[in-house]
Amino acid sequence: MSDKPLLLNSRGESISIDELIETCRSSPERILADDEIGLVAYVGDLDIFAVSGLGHPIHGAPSPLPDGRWVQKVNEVSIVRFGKQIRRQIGSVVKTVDADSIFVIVDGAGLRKVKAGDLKPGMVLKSGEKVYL
Amino acid sequence: MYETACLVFGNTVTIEHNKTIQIEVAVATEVASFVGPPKKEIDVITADITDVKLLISCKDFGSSKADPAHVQEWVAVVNTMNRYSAGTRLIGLVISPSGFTSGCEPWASTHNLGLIPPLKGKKLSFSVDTSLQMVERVLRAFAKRLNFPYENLTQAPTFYDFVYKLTEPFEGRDQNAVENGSRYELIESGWISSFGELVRMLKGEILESIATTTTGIYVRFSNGLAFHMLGAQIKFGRVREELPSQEIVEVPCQKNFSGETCSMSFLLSLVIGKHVTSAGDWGSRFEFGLSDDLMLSIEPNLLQVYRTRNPIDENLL
Repeated sequence: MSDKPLLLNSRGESISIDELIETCRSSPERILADDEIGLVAYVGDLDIFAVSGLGHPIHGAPSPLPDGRWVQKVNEVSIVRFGKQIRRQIGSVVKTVDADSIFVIVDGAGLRKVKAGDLKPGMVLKSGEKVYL
Repeated sequence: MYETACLVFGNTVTIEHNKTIQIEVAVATEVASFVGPPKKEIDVITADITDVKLLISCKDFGSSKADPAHVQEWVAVVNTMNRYSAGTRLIGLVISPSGFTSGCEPWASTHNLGLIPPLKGKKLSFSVDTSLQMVERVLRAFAKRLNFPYENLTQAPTFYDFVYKLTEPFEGRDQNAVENGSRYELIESGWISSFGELVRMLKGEILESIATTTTGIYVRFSNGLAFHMLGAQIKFGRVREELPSQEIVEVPCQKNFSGETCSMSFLLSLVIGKHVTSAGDWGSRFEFGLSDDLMLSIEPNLLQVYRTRNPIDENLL
């Protein structure tokens, strides 16, 4: 099972990570690891972006701007065979993330790190995105 | 570590005991600080890769974890070597099988050092064997990664993230091994697997045949997929042969939840051609939900089928 980030190509079109990995399989040099742990493929030169969770300030649509504000360039995509993953809606995007991924949230006047499994609705990330569920 | 490096890079790997690490351009003095006694013995393992060198610090603290000072010392070494290098780019990696304290992460990510095992914000411990498997996976992936433009690997925290992404799934594998042992195994590769992976692979597939043999129960699905119950072990995945070569034997077949005896042909007439909609593992028995209507239960020496509609009495087979 891939970790299912929402991916975009350089034209801003949504692409399937599973199709992307199948494409990578046809170029074996892209497969950095393929073993009992899972698969990691290099896509850093394919202009693939992951939606960061921040949508367009007005209409909410994701925008593939390379400044990293709305999207983030992806170097590797992976299939994790034994990952513990959960779904969280952060900002406008429902993401599948590892349960122990670290997020930085606003806590009063400071910042605090929490694991994805401990994110609660109403928390606000350092990036300004709100956690909904 | 040396043997692991040899596995990946072959004969190009050499090891030197108590080697003095020298900077390439020695026009100024520089200090790299170390914790511990002033005299440190350093074994240097070298492999020719490209113009990139991976500087690996191996720590063995028994049961205690490496602390930020140990990461900081390697930051100092790598930074110093990079500052006075004549074109060679150096990237740092710190290996401490007993783990790292939480304060190591900001130092490692800020200065682009890889950490093995990964620091995941909770108490984790890995065996030395697992740590070496992580090292091997990272070295193999690193060697392949250098076939592509790798300038950004030297920019923090790209290499830190690269190592993290390659090593963090080991936790799930080890946890799965503790929870399930070798109950689940992939047929083609022999890799240990999990209930979740079985469901992902077989859900939606059509059940094509069931064969009961002296070694176990063999279920065949569409797209060349199969499910084998061999005693307490479950093997699944893609297979090439149509039928097992072992002797075919009869096993008791039952229908309905109460377990009334039925014939194998009756059971097959109900389940063949149905697609898998759910699955459940109850330890001694494994169940496939078929077409949201039937349940096929498989035990090492028993097959059972029943309808899942309510009320039960009005939906008997």
